[in-house]
Amino acid sequence: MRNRNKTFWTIFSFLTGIIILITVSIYWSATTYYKNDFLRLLELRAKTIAQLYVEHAQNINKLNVQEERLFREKDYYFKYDNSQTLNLIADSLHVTTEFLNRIYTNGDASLIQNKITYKGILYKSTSSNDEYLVIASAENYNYTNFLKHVFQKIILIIFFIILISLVSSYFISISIYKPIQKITARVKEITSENLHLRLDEKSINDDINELSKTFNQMLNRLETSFEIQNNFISNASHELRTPLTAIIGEADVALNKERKPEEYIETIQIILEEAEKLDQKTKALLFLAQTGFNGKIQENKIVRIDEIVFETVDIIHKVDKRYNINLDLSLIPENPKLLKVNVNVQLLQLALFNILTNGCKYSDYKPVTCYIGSTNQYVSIVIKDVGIGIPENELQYIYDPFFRASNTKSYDGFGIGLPLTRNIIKMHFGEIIVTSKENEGTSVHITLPIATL
Amino acid sequence: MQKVLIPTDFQINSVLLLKQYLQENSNKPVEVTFLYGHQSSFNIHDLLFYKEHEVIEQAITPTFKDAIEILQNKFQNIQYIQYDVFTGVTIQSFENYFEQNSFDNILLIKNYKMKLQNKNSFDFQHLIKSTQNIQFIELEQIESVTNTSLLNIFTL
Repeated sequence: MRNRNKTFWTIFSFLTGIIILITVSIYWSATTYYKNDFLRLLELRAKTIAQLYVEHAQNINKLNVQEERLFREKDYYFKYDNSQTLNLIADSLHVTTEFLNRIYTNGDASLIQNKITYKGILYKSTSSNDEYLVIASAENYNYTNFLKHVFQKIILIIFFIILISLVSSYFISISIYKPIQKITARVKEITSENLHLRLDEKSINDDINELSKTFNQMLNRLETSFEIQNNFISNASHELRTPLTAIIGEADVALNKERKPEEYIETIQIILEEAEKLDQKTKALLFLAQTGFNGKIQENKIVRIDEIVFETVDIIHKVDKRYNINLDLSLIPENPKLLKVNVNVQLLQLALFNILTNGCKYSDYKPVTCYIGSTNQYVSIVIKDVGIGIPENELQYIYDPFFRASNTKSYDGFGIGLPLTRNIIKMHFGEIIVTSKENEGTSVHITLPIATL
Repeated sequence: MQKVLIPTDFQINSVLLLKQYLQENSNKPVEVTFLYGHQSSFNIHDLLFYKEHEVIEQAITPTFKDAIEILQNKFQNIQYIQYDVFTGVTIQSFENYFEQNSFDNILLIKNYKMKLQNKNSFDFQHLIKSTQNIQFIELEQIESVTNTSLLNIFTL
């Protein structure tokens, strides 16, 4: 909120300051223009008077007064004898002697007194060597009028300007911070329970949108790391239960009554076998779940996608021998460059692991086929199973966390794998499309951009 | 060098047909021409500004392009793939086109009905079937593809 106020006051003071500056400078230049213009006019009049009267008149000793057309205009002219006359004349004109002295010494001078503007010049007669002081005076009607009327209006205008800039800077500051407030409100809504929520992204390429995008990318990473943990629990609970049940069952039966040593040996052997399986499974699952867990920063590497698929299939076989995965490489490109992708290997293996094991799980261990092919821009991986499929009207919800299709009641699972997979693919700027028909099977089409070397 | 002509509606079926052919003939160099039937307009204005590549650009889908790229990346014996527009309406005009471009083979899908998107485009497979002079290969369609998704190119 403080930033908004800051913006508001900045815009407001800037707007008001600039407009007041403009208004004042216009007012100032207009007044000086009126003043100077009037002085020039008076100077002209003084010169005319000098030409008209001083040149042709005789015996100008005392003060002569001439009334003319300008508002309250009075023109004076007199012959300069000595500085004493100046004192006398100053008294009768009600101006200072200093003003008259200035006229005499500088050649011209001006004075404003009681609204009357005086302009005096020193005139040297061409016929004789006499010097005359000619003073034109009048009231600057335009100037006083201008002051009177325009000043009020300017005050009024400045008041309006302040009002307008108040309103406009208020709206500007609101409109600037509104999208940010929206983002804040939305981000506040997102907690660990609904990490799948995202901010709205518009197609416009501005800073705010950039912010939303960055937030969303961060949320993707956050959600992924949350889901990896959940996914491990989900996988573990499904995969570790079978050998544990076998171990417990075996031990339970063996302890029922006293048995021969051979029988004990057999039992312990079975338990050992199952425990080894359990160990292998746990290792494989932990390997997939420990992305960034051991403190090492997981970096993207440029690797061949088919190698990742092979390794994933290896891991899957370690987890459960019954998982049956066929690789169809009939459309794999001849050029190995078209198979290189820039990915976080462990994350992508986790994604493929989820899709492949889902395919096996929901088709009761029928073979799942994995195809690889490349266009010039991206690698396609298609994983096809012949399992129970997904009902058509539920396809749109499959990426929601904890959603499980209505026909999966008899299978273990928590609905975590697919959202996680999609997040991982999204993080690699890829795409995942699931098409399915109930009771016929599901096809998952993953595309990943080819790495540019 | 084999010059192969495939009448097409720019659906994934045509690519599947090519895939089937290439899998059977993976050692010979192949030049492929996809031929698209499009009626030329009766309007003088349209005829003035008629451009073949625009007709193809309009008809071709991104899925089709991707599928072709996948095949091209796999089968290195494809010398080139080009697209052409056929505007003729008679058997004779097709025979002329065939001879002029000296094709070696025509690939057809057995009992296939084209799914055409544009009202000006037409199915000219009957012209091929009724010629006496031209030999064509008809391949069985493994499975009728209803959806146009790219993954069909892998799974079929």
